[in-house]
Amino acid sequence: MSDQEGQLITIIISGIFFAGLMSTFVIAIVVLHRQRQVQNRQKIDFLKSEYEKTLLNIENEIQQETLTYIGRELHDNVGQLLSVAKLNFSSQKPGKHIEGIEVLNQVIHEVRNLSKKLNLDWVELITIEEFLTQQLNKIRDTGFCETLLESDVILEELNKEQKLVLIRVIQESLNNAIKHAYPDRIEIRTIQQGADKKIQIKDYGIGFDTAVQSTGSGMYNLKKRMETIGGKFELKSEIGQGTEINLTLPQVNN
Amino acid sequence: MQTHHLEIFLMEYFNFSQNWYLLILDALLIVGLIYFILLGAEKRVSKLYWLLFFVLSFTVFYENFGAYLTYNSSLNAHINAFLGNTKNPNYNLWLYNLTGNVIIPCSYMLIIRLYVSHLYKKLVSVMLFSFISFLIVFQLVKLEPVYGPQLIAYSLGATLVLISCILFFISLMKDPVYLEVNPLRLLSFWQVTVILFYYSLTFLTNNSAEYLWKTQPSLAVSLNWINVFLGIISLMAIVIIIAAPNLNIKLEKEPTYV
Repeated sequence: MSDQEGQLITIIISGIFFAGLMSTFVIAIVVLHRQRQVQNRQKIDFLKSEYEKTLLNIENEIQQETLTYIGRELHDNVGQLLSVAKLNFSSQKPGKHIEGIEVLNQVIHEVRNLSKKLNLDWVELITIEEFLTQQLNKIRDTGFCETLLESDVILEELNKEQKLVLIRVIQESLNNAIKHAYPDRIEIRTIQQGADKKIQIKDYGIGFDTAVQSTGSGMYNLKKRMETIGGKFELKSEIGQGTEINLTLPQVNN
Repeated sequence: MQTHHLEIFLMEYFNFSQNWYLLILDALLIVGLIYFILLGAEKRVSKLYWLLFFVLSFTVFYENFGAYLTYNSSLNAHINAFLGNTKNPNYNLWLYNLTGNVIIPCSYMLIIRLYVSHLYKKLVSVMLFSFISFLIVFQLVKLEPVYGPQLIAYSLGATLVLISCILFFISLMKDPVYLEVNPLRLLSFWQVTVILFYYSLTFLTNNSAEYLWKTQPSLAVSLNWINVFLGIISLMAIVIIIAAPNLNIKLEKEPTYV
């Protein structure tokens, strides 16, 4: 074997070795990519199931609250109206019968309104701004505290599931303020920060130390729920300074 | 005189047994050009296809021009003299230094920049900018003259191309968009793999070329075959990518084309 042939064989062998090394690298990349693909799919499935679980919980909570509200309305409002109608129809005076019919019409109207609350279709019919107004009006009407709503931006329409979660988070945030903060004023603002649109809920209540570990899981759940719809939940509070909650809305893909 | 050189060059050019390498490159350019013209309007405006076609046509051009310079030694001597080389007027290294060591690595980095995820695009741009800045400074201080072997410039360019390839593979592993596709059905994957093979397999041979040409020219000739074959394969990969939209190949949509 000549020198040149020997060198050529050496080159071929080292070339094959090096090419083999590179091929191994590329094959390893493909295998690792497949593994990551599987992990990624599992993660997406897990997130999907978490999202569905959250939605189911929220639907149950809202339905439970609706049933409580309907029960209260049936007892306090419809029940009372029906008693008045009964009294009117029992009377011998002809004018009372006409009054009784009017009361019955009112009952029919109230029952129709209540029936609309039984399914969650109202979520699709109401805008977030309308919902905020309703909630603050309810608080103000009870005489619990003063309220203020300021809308600096128009909020984009979210899909039904996202809206359901957001509505529940807003409801819970307001419930927490009423139950625990004893505020003399609650303010809600819709604001734009960069590309993000936010709902800011501020109560002028007793506040709390955020550094102290909470025994409940309320705030953690609210944070997780906002994250499941692609939003963010941020809370700032100080003792005596009230509490501020910022809900960053998910980006709407047009 | 010029016409005389050209006549000899053309007479010997089409002798396939002597010039098969150049004739294969020319054939690849013709096929690439046909498929480039056949590309749809949407693809024709894509930066990627223009860059690929540039690499193909430019490589074929400088390889042919390099061959022509061996016939037209007076033109070569003039250019060498202009660059300051009067000692070895037959050297055509200046051409390969400017093209194969500078323009082609930069083009490959630009192509890979289109494939990597947004996070790494900036990094590839920084590397490209640093490489060009380095080359300018490098020429100004005259560390390695442009007409001689430029090992440092070549090594740096090849290293940066290899780093860009690694960034592509990292994108493939990390970017959620890439995690949704099958890499084996991505042309970008195969092209970057070919670039990785080309630059890693030729890195040592090109770096040792100067020494080998002086001490063991037969070994240097043998090693040069690696460059030749891998060069053809990398251009074939480019032609396949340009032709792919018009061929019946089942491919996945590239996730991060710009």
